Amino acid sequence: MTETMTDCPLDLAEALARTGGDQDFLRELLEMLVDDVPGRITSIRQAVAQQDADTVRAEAHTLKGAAANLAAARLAELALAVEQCGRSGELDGVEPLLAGIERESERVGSFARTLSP
Amino acid sequence: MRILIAEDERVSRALLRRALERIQHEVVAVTDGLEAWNHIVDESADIRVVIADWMMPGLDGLELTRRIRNAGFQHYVYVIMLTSRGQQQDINEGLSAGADDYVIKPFDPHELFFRVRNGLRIVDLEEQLAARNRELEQIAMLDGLTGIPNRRAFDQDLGRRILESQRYRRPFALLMLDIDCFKAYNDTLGHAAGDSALRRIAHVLKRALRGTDDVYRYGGEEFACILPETDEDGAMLVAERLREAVEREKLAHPGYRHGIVTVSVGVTVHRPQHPDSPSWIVENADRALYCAKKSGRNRVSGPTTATTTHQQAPTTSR
Repeated sequence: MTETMTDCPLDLAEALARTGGDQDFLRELLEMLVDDVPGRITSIRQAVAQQDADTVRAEAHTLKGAAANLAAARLAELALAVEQCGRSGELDGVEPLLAGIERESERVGSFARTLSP
Repeated sequence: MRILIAEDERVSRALLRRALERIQHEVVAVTDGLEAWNHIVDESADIRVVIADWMMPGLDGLELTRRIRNAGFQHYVYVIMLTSRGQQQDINEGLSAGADDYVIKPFDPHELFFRVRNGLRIVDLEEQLAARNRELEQIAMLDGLTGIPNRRAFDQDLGRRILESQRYRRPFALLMLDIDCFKAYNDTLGHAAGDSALRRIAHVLKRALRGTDDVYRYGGEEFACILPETDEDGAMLVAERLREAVEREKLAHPGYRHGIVTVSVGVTVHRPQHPDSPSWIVENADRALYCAKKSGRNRVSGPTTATTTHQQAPTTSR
């Protein structure tokens, strides 16, 4: 693997512990996680437009959970920040975080592809 | 027995499924709380362990747990809550709502496996206990000596027969049978012989009855028979058949003038037009039995009271 620890969007050792050491399964789950991100971002944006803070919170919470399950710490942190915006009702802060989530999700996706299929 | 996973997020769902791969029971996964509830109330789904995410659309894990605990199911449903790290308040609320255990997300697959296995152990224990209780309930309804239903079963069945009789407007008959001079039998042959005679008579009565009739050991040397859907004529015929069946056994009874074991039988019929209390029905049969005894034993005596449709003198056969 060419990535250094700082490049790695997830804690591989921990992620593998969660999947019982199964790399293929981890790759499958990471792809699931990444595949779901665009849909979640779309619904968060819609919810922001409709000032629907609770949907923002719920969607971000689910994304946070999925990312945390696979030890994708940075993605989970960004999702948590969105969740907190939803909780506090300060929806102006959401959009910049979404851009970060998109970037981080791409990194997770590239990393997943480096895992042997 | 099945395990239900209620989790709306698919990565988590896949991890849960994988963690439970080695469990011997089928795992069903649903994506919202209402769907989970529909599975749990469906008896045929046989859901006994539920792993429920705290936050779900439809019905959240907390509400789902509350519903399970308030439903009063016959069997125990073991609930494991899934919560996010650090939500102590969630954990407390979940446990107070009746969750048996919780797992914090992100979870270690081995931990989850062990917790589910522990849950299955509790469910198994509960099931064994329930089966044992059912067994004991049945035993509690049987007479230890003769193996036929006992007085407790009689009281229960008589109450039910009265209700049925009223509801379907059908009569039923009650026979009270008493072994003649049984005290003398015990005194001359001993209690072991007495026990053996009781067992033999119980068996004879059971065999001589029709399939829908029931015989009980009422107490001591007294037996009771409930004959559903039976009027006086039918009841007198059955009673006479029972008396004959006992007589035909020719069980030696040296302390009694007949020389063999015989029974006296009192007959009463309960009619829905004249609903009576259980104790009054038994009293009627006892009164008839007393007549049978008084008029020489080894005979059948019919209804003697004003509760029958027409007033009549005691009818005694033989």
